[in-house]
Order: sequence, then structure tokens, then C-alpha cells
Amino acid sequence: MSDMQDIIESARRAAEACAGLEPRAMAKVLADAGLIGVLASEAAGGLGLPISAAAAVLAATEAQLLGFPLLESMLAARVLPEALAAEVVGGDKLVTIAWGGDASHGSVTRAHGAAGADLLLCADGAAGRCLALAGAEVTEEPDLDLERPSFRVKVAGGEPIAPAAWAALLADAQLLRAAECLGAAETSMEAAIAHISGRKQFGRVLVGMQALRFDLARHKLALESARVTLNKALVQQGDSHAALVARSTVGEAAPFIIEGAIQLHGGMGFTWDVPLHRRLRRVRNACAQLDVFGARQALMAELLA
Amino acid sequence: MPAVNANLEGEDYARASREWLLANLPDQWRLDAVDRVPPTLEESKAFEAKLAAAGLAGMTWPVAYGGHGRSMREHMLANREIGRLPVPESVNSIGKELAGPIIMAVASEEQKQRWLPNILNMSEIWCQGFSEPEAGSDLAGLRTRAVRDGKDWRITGQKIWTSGGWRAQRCLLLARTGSLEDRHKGLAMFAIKLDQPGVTVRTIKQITGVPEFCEVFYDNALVEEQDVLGGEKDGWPAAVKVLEVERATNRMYRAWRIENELRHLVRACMGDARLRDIVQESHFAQRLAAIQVDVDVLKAYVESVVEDLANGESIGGRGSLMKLHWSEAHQRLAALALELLDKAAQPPSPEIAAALRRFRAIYLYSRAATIYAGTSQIQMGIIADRILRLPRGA
Ligand SMILES: Cc1cc2nc3c(=O)[nH]c(=O)nc-3n(C[C@H](O)[C@H](O)[C@H](O)COP(=O)(O)OP(=O)(O)OC[C@H]3O[C@@H](n4cnc5c(N)ncnc54)[C@H](O)[C@@H]3O)c2cc1C
Repeated sequence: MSDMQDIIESARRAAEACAGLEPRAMAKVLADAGLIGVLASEAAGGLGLPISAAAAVLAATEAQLLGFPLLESMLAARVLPEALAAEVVGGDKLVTIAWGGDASHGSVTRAHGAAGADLLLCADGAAGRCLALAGAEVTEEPDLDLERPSFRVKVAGGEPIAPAAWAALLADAQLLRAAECLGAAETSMEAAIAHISGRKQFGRVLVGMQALRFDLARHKLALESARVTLNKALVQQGDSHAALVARSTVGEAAPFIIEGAIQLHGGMGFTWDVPLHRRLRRVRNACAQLDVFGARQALMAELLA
Repeated sequence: MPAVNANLEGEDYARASREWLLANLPDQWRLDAVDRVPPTLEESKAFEAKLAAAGLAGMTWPVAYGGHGRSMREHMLANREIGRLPVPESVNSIGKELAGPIIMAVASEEQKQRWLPNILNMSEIWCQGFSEPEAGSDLAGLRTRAVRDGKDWRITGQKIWTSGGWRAQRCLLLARTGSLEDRHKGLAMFAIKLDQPGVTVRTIKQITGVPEFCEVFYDNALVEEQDVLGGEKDGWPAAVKVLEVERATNRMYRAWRIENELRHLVRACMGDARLRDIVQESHFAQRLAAIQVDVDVLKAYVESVVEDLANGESIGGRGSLMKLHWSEAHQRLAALALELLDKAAQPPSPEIAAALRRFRAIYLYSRAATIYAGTSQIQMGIIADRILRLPRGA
């Protein structure tokens, strides 16, 4: 357990050190901390740890608003051929994943950090595809995320990724994204508690107002329900029911808690300099990937079966 | 220029207003335009001046002050048409919706003639200087001081969140003439000129990325005798009454604008290969229909308020009910829009991209709706205390 604490602490520090760096420099910092290879095989220079370890790392880096596609890099380093994976793990090659679109349609979207990356993974029907980005047409798309710009990429060529490996990657990506959301929500809630604990109105510290205490109690309930279900899904990997439940709870809880934290900040919460909106923007994007609607449809299908 | 619709009434007046808007609103300014180019400040001012001259601002204001002497019912009809079209937000809404009505209620005849026409012809933009760093929800705790300087006043203190302060010439300023212990009794209202040495305006960037609200520092800034509103003692209590009504009547186009957004969302979804099916799934269909209900609830409130005002009746605390309702309804619509549009076929079509741009902006901007003009918690307190009159217990 204390090993895990060490990894989380080094993730926090590495993410902090990444602030303001160029992507290649960030890759080096994260690689040196051993973070890109958390999931990759030891043969590729990775740590070969279970997905729960990656989740803990990502919750910590998300709290720091890391501007690097770390989740994508971790998952890619697990599916890429050993030699390529080793380069990714070492921070020498930059990789990202397009979460939107399909190679068979010619272009894919929602590839965070694709400009300047070397490799791209994307969907190709039920399978995946891995291609080199050198010479590819990469255009930035408007996006909510302020730290991880999103790109559309014209795809050609590349190597296939087997359907089973690609499906596993997509499923794990949802859980890891959920872990990021939880990190964002928890930090936002802490910020809200700190803010109203230090602010007086009507001659009283705001945190003493029962209305606000009840708001926070609801946020806490949502946070812990999300955490307990996500932890279960991470431990019982491959249990699709647990994953559906986790996607559903986290996808509801994270925006609810962060929107609530903004509300508790009053006018201050609406300012650019208070980073709550940055978290909210990222979490809203993450919700597209968690797909609460799809998760609940699948849960209903289980009920009907 | 006489108002284009000056001789028309009721629905004829509404139709003429709509036709005027369709003919004069540049396509690229429309909030739903695929190739949107927002107007510059100067363009907005020129457009709004034309809008007022055409009879679509200052509807209920007396003709003597540049208004159109219309009834509240007609004000609602014109706003309905403004809401139905995606017209850009006014750059002088504080002047038209807040300062104007307060001036009408408490200012002297000379002040009315000096200020009101300039609000409608856009030569003077107003802002609202109430909130301070230490006085937000607790407005009565504000510290900015007003002290006598012969017949004039001198203002010293700091305001924050002053929307549009950077483009305003005048600020409706609330300052303390009495002691802090007097709470709301020691406050007076001033129409201070911002272009003077004692005033420093600094913009603050909002979560939308736009530097719209401001910190305003007053260092011995001058308010001439002629710019005090309603006297040292009576200005603020009178203004509070106006504000209560304003909460129920301001931006009366809102219900129709939210409906315009809802329809834009549905149209965008129906034009997308993937969303066409998803939007008709009962989960989303029910939520969209619930927003339509939200809109109609708001319309019903608005209509009831307009009726009661027309009959000279009090509207009580309805403004707080309405504010709590629409601010949260708008947030629900915005979140639903993002959930849906994120499921569009990839890469997104230009129509989906335009809808995303509009609804992302609304999603971020609507976070403010439950904060400004009295937070949701404050509205709930008002409902419990002043509408329900719940006993305090022991
Ligand atoms: C976009 C925007 C534009 C604005 N424009 C203007 C403007 O033009 N002019 C102007 O003067 N002001 C303006 N404001 C300021 C606005 O009126 C204040 O932000 C608002 O009154 C809240 O005050 P505050 O920010 O100090 O929050 P606080 O009062 O510190 O509130 C923080 C949190 O505590 C809660 N809270 C406070 N008191 C209580 C209570 N008694 N019981 C329960 N909960 C409570 C609040 O609801 C909130 O969630 C604007 C604000 C925004 C966001």
C-alpha cells in the first residue's frame, strides 16, 4: 500500500513539474517518474501494474490539470509492440488516441495532443489502428478542455490492432477517465470547503450555514458513491456490470460536484483564474466518453435479459 | 425617425416588430448562425440605437424620455419577438433594465430628461456598482463610503463584479453615507461618471474567457450634487421596491429565447445521422419535453405578472420564484445540450459545430445565472422568509 502512496505522490509532483512545459518535455518528466509505463509490460520498460494503479495516478494528475495525454499514453504503451512501447514508456515517442470517429471514414476526432505527437491510435470498425502521424493532416478542433487541445486527424495507412485488444482498451479508458473525474471532483469539493470556511457574510462564516453544509453533504454522498463503485469496477476488472455502474455514478457525480463547487464560490467561482471551470470543462468532455446514457441502456438490457 | 410600428396595436404590433427584426438583424450576428461573426461594441451600439428608434426598446418608457409609451402587455409582445429570434445580448441591458426603471421611480424630472434618452440612444452605457469583495450576498455589509464635499459627494472604496464596467460611462453606485452598523439604512445611490481621475476600472476574465465584469476602485471620486439619486435617505428604499419588480420583469424575452435555444438544439439533432435516433430515445425525449415545460412555466409566470401589473396589483415575491426557476432550467437545458451534441456523428457537421459553439458558451455562462442578482440560496431564503413567512422557531 505504501508503494501505491509513493506512486501517487510522485504523480502529483511530476504533474506539478509539467506545468508550462512543451509536450516532449512533459513526456520526459512523466517517463522519468515511471508514470507512462504504469500498465506496460516489464519487457517494454513498464511496471506491469494493474489498472487500479493507473487510476490512482490519473486521479492525482487530473487534480493538477496535467496538460498531457497520460491516460492515452499508458493504454497505448500496453497494446503497442514491445519496441514501440518501450519508446513511449521512455518518453521518446509521443502517442495519443482519437476518441471520436473511425479510420474507415477517413478522419478521426478528439485526439488530445495529436499535433506534435508521433503515433495515433484510433478505431477502425470493431478493431483499432495504429499509425504514424508524420505528414498527416492534423487540425485543431474547438473544445472545452483548455490544457489538452483536441485535434481532428486525416488517417491513412497504419497497423491493425486486434478487436479484442481494442475493446479492452476502450473499456479500460472509460474506467481511467472516471478515475480522473473523481480526482477533479474531489479537489473541487475541497476548494469549495476551503472557500466557504474562510469567507464571512452576514457576520458569520459561510460554512456555518446549514443550507451550505447540506449542499456539501450531498456532494460528499455523490463523491463516495462514485468512488466505491469505481473502486469495485477497477478491482473486478472485466466485470462489465460493475463498469456500467461505475460509469453511471461517476458521470453523474463529477459535473454535479464541480458545478456545485462553483456555486459555493459565488462570483469568485465564475472567474477564469479560479481553476474550477478548467476541471468542469475537462469533466464535461470526459462525460462524453463515460456515456452514462449508454451505460444505463446496457444495464436495462441486463434487467430485461 | 418615428417607430415603424407606432400606429399598430396588439398582435399587429408584434408582427411589425418581428418583420423589423428580420429585416434589420444581420444574419451573421444571429446566435444560431453557422458562420457567426459577433458584432463589435460599436456595431452593437448602432444596432441597439436603431432598435430603440424602431420601437423595440424602452417600450413602456414615456415618449418624453425617448420611450414609446406602450403598455406592459405590449412590452411583453415585443420581448416575445426579440426572444424568438437569436438577437445578440444588449450591451446596455443594465441601463435599460435596471438603471432606467430606478431612474423613472426615484429621479428628479431634470435627471430623467438628462439620462433616460441617452440610455435608449446608446450614448450612455450604464453599469451596476453594488457588490464588493466583502459584500456579495450580504449587500447591506458594503463599505464603500460617500462623504459630503460641499454640495457634492466624494466616493472611496472598491466594487467588484461590475458587469460591463469597462464600456460604461456611468455607474449606478450604492455607497454608505451612514455607519456600518446602520446596515441597509445608511446607504445612498449615486449615478457616478466613470470617466474621471478618481476611478480605476480593471476587467476580470470570466470562465467563458471573456473579460466582462470588472473591479472598480473609487479614490475620492466626485459625484456632483445633480447626480445623487433620490436623496441621501430615500434613494435606496425606493430602489429596493423597483428591484423586486425588476426581478420579475427584466429580460422579459427570456422564456422565448430559451425556447429558441431548445428548438435550435432539436433542429441540430434532427439534422445529424446519429442524433436523429438518439434524440427520440425516451430518456432524451422526456428531458427535452421537460425543458419545454420549464419554458411554459416561465411564460405563465411572465404573463401573470404582466396581467397583475396592468391591473395595478402587487406581484409579491414572484420575482424570486421566477429567478430560481429560470436560472436552473437554463442550466438543465445547457447540460442536456452538451450531452446530446457530444454524441453527434464524427467529424461533426458545420451545423453541429455551430450548435456546440452556442451551447458550450451557454453551459459556461449559465453557471452565473444561479449566482448573480441574488444566488439561488438567497432566493430560497427570500421564498422561505418573505413569501412563505415561515416562523423562525424559538
Ligand atoms: C456574471 C456575474 C455578473 C455580475 N454582475 C454584477 C454587477 O453588474 N454588479 C454588481 O453589483 N454585482 C454583480 N455580480 C455580483 C453578484 O451579485 C454576487 O456575486 C452575488 O451577490 C453573490 O455574492 P458573492 O459573489 O460575494 O458570493 P457569496 O455571498 O460569498 O456567496 C458564496 C456562497 O454562499 C452562499 N450564501 C451566501 N449567503 C448565504 C446564506 N445566508 N444562506 C445560504 N447560503 C448563502 C451563496 O449562495 C454562494 O453559494 C455579478 C456576478 C456574476 C457571477
